[in-house]
Amino acid sequence: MEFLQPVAGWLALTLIPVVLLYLLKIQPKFAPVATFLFWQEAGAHHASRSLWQRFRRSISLLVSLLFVLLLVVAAMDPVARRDPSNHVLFVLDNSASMTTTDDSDTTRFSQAKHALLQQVSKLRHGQYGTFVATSGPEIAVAHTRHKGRLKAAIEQTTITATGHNNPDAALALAYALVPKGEQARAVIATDRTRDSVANLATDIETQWLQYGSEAGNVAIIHFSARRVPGDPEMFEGLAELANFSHNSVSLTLTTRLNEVPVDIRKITMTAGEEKTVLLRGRSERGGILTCELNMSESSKDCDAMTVDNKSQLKFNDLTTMKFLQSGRRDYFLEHLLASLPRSQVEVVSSLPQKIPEGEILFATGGVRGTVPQGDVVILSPDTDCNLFNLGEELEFPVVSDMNSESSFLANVTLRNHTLAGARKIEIKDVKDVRVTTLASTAEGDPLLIYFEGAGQRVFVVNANPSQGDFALRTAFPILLDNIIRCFHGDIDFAQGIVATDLPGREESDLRMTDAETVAGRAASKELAHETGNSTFTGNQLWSLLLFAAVALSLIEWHAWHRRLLE
Amino acid sequence: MVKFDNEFVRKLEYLYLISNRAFKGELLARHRSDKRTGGVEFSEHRDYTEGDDLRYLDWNVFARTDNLLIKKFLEEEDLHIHLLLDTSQSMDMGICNKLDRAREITAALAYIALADGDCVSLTTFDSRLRSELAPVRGRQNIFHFLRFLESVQSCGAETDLHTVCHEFITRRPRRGLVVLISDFFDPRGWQKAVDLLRIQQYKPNLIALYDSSDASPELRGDQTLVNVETGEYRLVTVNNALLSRYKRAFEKFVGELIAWCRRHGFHGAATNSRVPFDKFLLNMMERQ
Repeated sequence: MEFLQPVAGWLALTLIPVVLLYLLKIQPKFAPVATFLFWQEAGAHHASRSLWQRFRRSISLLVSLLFVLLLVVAAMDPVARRDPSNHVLFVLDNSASMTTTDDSDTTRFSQAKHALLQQVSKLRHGQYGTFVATSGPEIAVAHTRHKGRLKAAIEQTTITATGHNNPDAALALAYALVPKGEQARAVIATDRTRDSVANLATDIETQWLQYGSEAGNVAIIHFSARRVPGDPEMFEGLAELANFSHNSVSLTLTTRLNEVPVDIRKITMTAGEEKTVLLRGRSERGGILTCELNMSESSKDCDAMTVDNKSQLKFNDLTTMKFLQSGRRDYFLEHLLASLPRSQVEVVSSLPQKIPEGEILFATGGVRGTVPQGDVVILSPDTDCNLFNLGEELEFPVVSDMNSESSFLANVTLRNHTLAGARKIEIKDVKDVRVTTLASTAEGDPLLIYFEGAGQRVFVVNANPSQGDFALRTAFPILLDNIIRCFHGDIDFAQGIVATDLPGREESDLRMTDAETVAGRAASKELAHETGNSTFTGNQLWSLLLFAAVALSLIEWHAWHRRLLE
Repeated sequence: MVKFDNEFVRKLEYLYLISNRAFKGELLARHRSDKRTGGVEFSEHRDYTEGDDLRYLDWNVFARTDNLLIKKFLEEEDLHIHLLLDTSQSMDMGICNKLDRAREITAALAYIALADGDCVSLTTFDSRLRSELAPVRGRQNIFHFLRFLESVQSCGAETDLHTVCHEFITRRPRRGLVVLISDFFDPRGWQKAVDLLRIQQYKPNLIALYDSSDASPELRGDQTLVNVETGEYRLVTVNNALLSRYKRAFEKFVGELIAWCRRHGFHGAATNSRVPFDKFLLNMMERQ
């Protein structure tokens, strides 16, 4: 046996006042009487001779001491079995499937939390605990002897609807904190079966607390949307539904944009069916696109988990991109920019000090003096500015080095390509401006340069598109497209947006195989024992001791009271 | 310690008046000596025998009946009252001290007797006779009595009634009324002692005094009882059953005392010491 609260042993000091009080109590009370005549006739002398009367006080003292000892031992919280491990790893499954309530009123997650809290209470004095949530996984509390911290962390853990459920990874993460040579055991509370988890560490004694049983569920397993390429005002959504139950179900699928319904469908699905639903709508404005399924009354029992019944994604507003063009008139560039959907090109003769937000200045030939604040693309610079000085035209402007990792150069192939018209550029050291050379010659002369800082972003293309075939290569429009995306954000209205708030197929499918069902039921029985639902388990000895102490005091009181009533 | 003040003396006077008017001196069973001749009160006739004094011949009866009859008379004698006051250790205790109450009762009885013209003596005793106040007559001697009673103290000795009564009759005081004021807590018993007095032609009157703690002790649990007279102690565990038996034993004791007195034609009374002396004496007069 060992004690979870050995410090309570100090309460044994209360035995001293009990003994002292007893000694004071047994001090004989002298009562002067006028005569013994009547006491003798009443038989008082016989009563004092009995063995019971002689030893009653000692028995009473022993009972009192035993009562105090029982209370002290109960306070020390004894446990029948000693846990040899120094470290206990607590793993809590906080994936979406744990929100299922099954046949009870509480969710699997609540039950798992409750069980882990009880397990934390069982930590003996000196044991370390680590708590890890499977979604992530994430270490919430590491290597602590403070039960309060562990319990608080468990209490505060919430369900992560989209978290990737990784009990084995969580356990491995927690186990990494255990010092070498120390013994550890793990307690995992999850709704997955032990066999379904691969790569579970086998050298750790693991207590598997499994919750839940097979249940039916209807879920949205995928939701995405995009604007129609040829008609950006129109958008289309794709919702994949799955019926993970053994019954046919009927439901209503509602799509809303900013809480305004745009599409409502009544859908019937057979058992196990997966269905893809295409939705369409028209809106220039962006916002929150929501897809939600509502089960009919007759089918509600087939949907055990509701966290996967709704998904949202964000659409941006359709905006018009404005480009300013200055310097030498470049019709090729002008048409190239005009070809972008919802774009507007304006040729400016004088440059503003600051380019308005959302607009990009394409300065062909460079900017004399100070480059305006804002987003600026300088093509074929032929004049000095505050950021650089120009030199002679390069003799061999061949792209030798490229920073392919840069977003500006994504899918841009320029290596060994000649950027005709490139000049020698001497970059100035401007305060608060970071300079990145994205492409350069073998001699190190910058060809593509990016300046950022002091309220401006400037991309310099050190080449003359009208010379050579650079403008005709696909690299040029791709480069411009990358620059615009980096400056303006996502401009591809047709690019699909996928909702990321869904648990996914694996989490939504609450069906079990036959083997899992059998294992689950067996684990549930073991669970009732492990979580201490029974009143008199090894960790409930204190209640047994308390009961014994109360019973003892009642017996002693009754016996004491009785002898005065005899 | 009781003090006999003016208020007390007024109470004594009141008691005497009550006893005189209402009970015609029945309190102490005024004694009549049947001497048959002399005296002032005619009693009865008897036949004339040779040698009788012709002064007492009833000439009226002779004139009517020619019978010679001699008148017989009752003679009033002085009553001699011996007050025996128990001053043993058992008397000097109690919630209401029994000795103080006994002093008051003794003083009251002495006053009534003295006021009535009787001769009264007072002797204290415990295991033997202690101090004595010689017989006196007349109401004016009451203060002598009161001072004597005020000076009486318990010597801490035990009660031995038989020795006391034996010693009393050995001194051969004049026959009369013997009033024993005591708690009668003699382990050897009181009956033989009182019988001694009765056999010697004294008329014992018993006044038993007890305290509430004697009749119904308020003790519970483990107690060490200490006998105040002998110093002995007993360890007892007091419970309700024991107390119940105790009370029955006490009531039996008091009942036996009064029944014995009644059986032998003497006066016997028992009172709790918390009852005021005047109330006790008035009750006693009413019962007689």
